[in-house]
Formats: sequence, C-alpha cells, structure tokens
Amino acid sequence: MIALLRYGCGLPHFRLEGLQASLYVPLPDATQWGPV
Amino acid sequence: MKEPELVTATQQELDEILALAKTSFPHKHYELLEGVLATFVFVMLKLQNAKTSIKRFQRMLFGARTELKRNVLDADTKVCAEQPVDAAAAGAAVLDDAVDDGDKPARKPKPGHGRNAAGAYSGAPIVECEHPRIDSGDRCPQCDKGRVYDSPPRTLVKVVGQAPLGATVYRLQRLRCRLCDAVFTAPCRRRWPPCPSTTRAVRR
Repeated sequence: MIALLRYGCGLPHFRLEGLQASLYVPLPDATQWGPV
Repeated sequence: MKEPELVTATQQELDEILALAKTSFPHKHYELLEGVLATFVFVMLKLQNAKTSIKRFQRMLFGARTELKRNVLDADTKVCAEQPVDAAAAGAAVLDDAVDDGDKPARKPKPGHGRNAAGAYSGAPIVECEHPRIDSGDRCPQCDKGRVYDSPPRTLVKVVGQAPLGATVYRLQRLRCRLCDAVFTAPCRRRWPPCPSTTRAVRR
C-alpha cells in the first residue's frame, strides 16, 4: 500500500505520515521505507 | 431629466400607430419606431409578470456577458429562426419570447453523476445478513396463510473512512518463572512474512 501510494498516487512519505498521525495510526516516514 | 408619465396602451393601439406611421414615415424611421415599440411591449410584459429579477432582465436586454458556445449559438439560432416580417409579426414574436424566456435555459446535464453498482466493489468484504426471526419456508407473518421463500437480497454498500494503513496491536502474554526466570511468550495468531519494520517493532 505504501508503494502504491508513493509511486502510483504520488503521495510522499511525509504526507502519509501526517495523514496516519491524524487518524491515530502513526507511521513515521523513516519507518515507511522498511516495507517498501 | 424629467420623469416621464407612465402610459398604458394595448397591443391594438400600438398596431394602429404603426399602421399610421408606415404610410407617413420614411422606411428607416418606421423601422426605428417599430423597434422602440416592440421593446416597450417586451419590457412592460416582463415587468407585469413580476417573475424577472433585475439580473435576468439585464441579461435578456443586453445579452449574456460570457461568450460560451451555448449562449452565442442559442442567440444566433433564435435570431435566425424568428426574424419578424412586419409590425404585427414583431409584436407576436415579442409576446412569444416573453412567455418562453421566463424560465432558465435548458442545460444538458454533465456526465459522470451515476453510481457504482455493488458488483463494482469487488475488493470489499461481503457480509451476509439473515433475518433474525423468519427462515425460508416459514409462514408469512403478515397474512399468516402463505409461505415465504428466498428472494434476491437487498444490497447496501456502506463506505467508511479509514486510514490507508491500518495497525493492530498484539499483546502477547508472557509468563515468567519466579524461580529460574524463564520467560514463556504466547505465539502470535497471525504469521507475517519476514519484514524488517515488523521485526523492529517487536524488538522495542
């Protein structure tokens, strides 16, 4: 999902980090590189 | 400028004036007078109907401000189709326009406002909901004579907002021996493929 968002939808990691944090499922941008 | 006196005149009176003017006036001046009277009739009809806002009235008199294709083409086709021949025809055309132009111009609805069928949600889980009291083959509770059988289900699509990436917190029970300090951790119900981030999270 992270790869799809980044490379398919053009959603950068820091933006996804903000979205996740606002929905109380925090996922820092550095952590997002792991699964990718 | 002095305020003019309001004059009420019928269409017949205006036609008589035009008939008189046609013989005595030069053609150019006659056309001008005809146009003035037609405008007067048009304005008075619109004001009497009292359904016209000032903005719409302005648009009717001076035309649309934008040069959208539909505005320009509509105006052109209307002018081509309704060219008045004489004064009576001009008056009739004005009356017809007054009746027709009161409403908004019919716009073609933009495409893309349909709904997706339930079959389009192929990735969504399907929840089968059974009736709590009635089964197939039971007596009808309403008429108490017939029997009810399966019919095509009513389908509802419920869309909920959620985070793009969900997370689940697993709390694994740990048992420690008070004597030898051996720790026994309960296995996690779910198995993942090896992933560095997951491993890191578990280590913390």
